[in-house]
Amino acid sequence: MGNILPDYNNLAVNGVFYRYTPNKITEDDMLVKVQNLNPNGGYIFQETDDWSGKPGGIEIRKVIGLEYIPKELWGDGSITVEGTGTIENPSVVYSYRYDDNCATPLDNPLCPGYADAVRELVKDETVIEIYDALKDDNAKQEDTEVDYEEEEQKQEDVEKDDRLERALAINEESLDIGNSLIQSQLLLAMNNSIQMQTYYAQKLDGGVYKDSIVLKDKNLPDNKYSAILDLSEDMKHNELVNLQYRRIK
Amino acid sequence: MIKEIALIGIVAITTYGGSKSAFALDVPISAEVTGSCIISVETNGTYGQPNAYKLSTASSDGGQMPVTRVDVTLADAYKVKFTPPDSFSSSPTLNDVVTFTGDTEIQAVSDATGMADYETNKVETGTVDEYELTATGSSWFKHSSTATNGGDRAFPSGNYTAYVTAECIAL
Repeated sequence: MGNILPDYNNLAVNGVFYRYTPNKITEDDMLVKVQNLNPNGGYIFQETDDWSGKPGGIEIRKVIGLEYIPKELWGDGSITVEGTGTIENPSVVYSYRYDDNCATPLDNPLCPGYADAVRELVKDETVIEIYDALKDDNAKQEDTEVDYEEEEQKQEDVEKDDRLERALAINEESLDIGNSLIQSQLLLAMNNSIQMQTYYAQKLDGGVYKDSIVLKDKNLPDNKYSAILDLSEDMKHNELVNLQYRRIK
Repeated sequence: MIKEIALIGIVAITTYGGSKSAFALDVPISAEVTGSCIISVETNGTYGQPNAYKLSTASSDGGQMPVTRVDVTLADAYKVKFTPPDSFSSSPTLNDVVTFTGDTEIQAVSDATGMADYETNKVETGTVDEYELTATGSSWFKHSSTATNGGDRAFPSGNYTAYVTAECIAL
């Protein structure tokens, strides 16, 4: 197991994750055991999957949590198949933690001298190499490629000029054809503009009409007799309404 | 304008009764129900285009099957239902009727004994697949989808999106 788990002090495994795909016929019995030997005898870890009577071809992914078992107790690992069938694409991953008793102060924030070590780390001036493009062979090669691109660009420019001349010649002809129409549209626009200017130029005599009456705020008391008036109006109204229900003698 | 004034008589009635004291206590019963069935997307899918009129998630067609993970903490309490897409949720303006096909298969399980039969016991209704989650743990499902444009006409260029619907239903 020493080849798999790293050589850190106080390393302890706290989980195993494994996956594989069984190949089997549904009717067959098959047990798959994922396990690690214990140097002191037996197995330190063993997980059994019973595929008996189950179809194959379905991958299993399993995570087993453990309570920090020291590395020294982990022997060689294996996957064994009992019964009829095989497995494909097996993978076993171990989860672990380690504590090397603060061999270096930066191992753990709880280690003595951690803050000083971090401060020193931050102060450490690393030498930065300045890149010189002129000494870079790749850059020189790029330079020659740029030359090629420039030549290609010049050729394209010449072709563009030819195309532009032809296009301008065509444009001149079309301009001659459309010239009279454009002229007439311009004249129309100018005439409209002149006509509109006559309206814009007109001014109406007027001025400012200031308010001549100013009402000053005063206290307007409620009319004490309004309620009596309202009631009398209501009574009259009711009387008139009730008239229609009286018998005519 | 009519105004009516109503006079309301207020009668205060007081009742007298003998004073009695009673003690009561509410006894709480609390429970916390956590998500017992959790669906998460493990892998997003992509359509490949094996020809002009077909989009497919099959890897042989250049696509990628979406994978869904379902975690349950209670056995025999839920079933999960997957409905493959029957239309694009977003696409350019289509030039013909698109036919969709789809399927769901179990990809992986976390328990051989309890979950290996999920695929065998799957209930298929049309393209809708239902799995009864009879064991606790995680199970992974892969979904395939194919969209074929009518009349073998080429799909208009643009971005296409379709969704697989996954539902966890309490039994």
